[in-house]
Amino acid sequence: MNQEAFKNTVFVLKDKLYRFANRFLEHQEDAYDLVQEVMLKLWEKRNQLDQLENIEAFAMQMVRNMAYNKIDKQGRHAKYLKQLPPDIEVEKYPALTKELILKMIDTLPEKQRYVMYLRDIEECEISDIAAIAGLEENAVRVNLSRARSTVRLNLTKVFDYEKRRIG
Amino acid sequence: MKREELDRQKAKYWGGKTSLEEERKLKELEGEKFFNALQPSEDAMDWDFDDFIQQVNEKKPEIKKVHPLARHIIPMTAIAATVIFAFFLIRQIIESNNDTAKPIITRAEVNNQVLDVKKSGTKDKELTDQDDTPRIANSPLSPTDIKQTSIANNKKDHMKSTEDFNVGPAREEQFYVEINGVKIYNQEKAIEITETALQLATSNLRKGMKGVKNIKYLKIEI
Repeated sequence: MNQEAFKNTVFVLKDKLYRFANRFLEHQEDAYDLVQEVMLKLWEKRNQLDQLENIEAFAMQMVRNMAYNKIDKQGRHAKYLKQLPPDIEVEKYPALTKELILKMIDTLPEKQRYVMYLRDIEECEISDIAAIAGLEENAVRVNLSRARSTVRLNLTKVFDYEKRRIG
Repeated sequence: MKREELDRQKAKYWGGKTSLEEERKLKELEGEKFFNALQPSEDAMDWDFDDFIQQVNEKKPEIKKVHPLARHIIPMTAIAATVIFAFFLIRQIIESNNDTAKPIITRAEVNNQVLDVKKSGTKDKELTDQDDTPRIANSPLSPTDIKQTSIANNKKDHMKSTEDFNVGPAREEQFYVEINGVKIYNQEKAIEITETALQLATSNLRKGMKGVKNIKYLKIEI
């Protein structure tokens, strides 16, 4: 893979990878460094990338694995380990925002967390999510359904469901 | 979108069964705050490709080429096998050159003869005088000598009891060891040669049948 091809097929994923890394790591600087590291690794392997079926899924997996490594070995703060703040109330979150939904996604179990994030925020195909998460497509749908139901339930606790018309 | 259709789509969404296209339509609906909030993120990384290439070029000298272990296994195994083979080959050559491997006719014979041991010092002197002098064993034992012979049979006993018995003066009654047809009367030398002969025989026996073939003749009489 030459420089131009790398730019058009791999480097264009950087923003998506960065956002994904941000779902694991609390500090944006850590996510930034991590994506740079991933890109450099991919560049080193650029001659083998043509053999991959799904470069994006491969890169996302790298981000996920390296993020876990950073959290385990370097003691970086994991965003998803934060419990949902008990002060989520109407006063603090007067409106249903993306920030609040992301906070609720972060509190989900691991698989549900990135299945819902990849589908609802990054709009990934089920097959891509299956490749990234290492799950069967059916399992992805099951996890997705459970994740959405949990988020809906939590939102209902915060807001008056009927009044706010969450969904 | 009609109300019924909307409810159907929502139910499908919560069940995780909607397609991407259907979900995008839900996100575009007005007044649906939850779905409206799920628009794709616009967060971007402030990093362009030129900076990346510059980083790559800066990092290049630091990159160490990692050779997978699998690539080294065959040469390493070959080297190890060669070293082991060479070790055994050299060992075999050394062993074959060793004197112990040469066929030696060994004959160690100790006749039951009575030794004149009036004074140990005198005896030693006499033995020293007769160093390396081949001698023929004297006449067979007489009935009167049997007692003393039995005492002197054991070499250790003999050494301990040199002062305990006093027998005839005959030189010819001394112990001797015959090796390769040569009789040795010097006690120390005889013991030394006997031990060497026995060690050679033991060494050959330890090698199994191959070593036994090296022993053409071995006779030990005490």
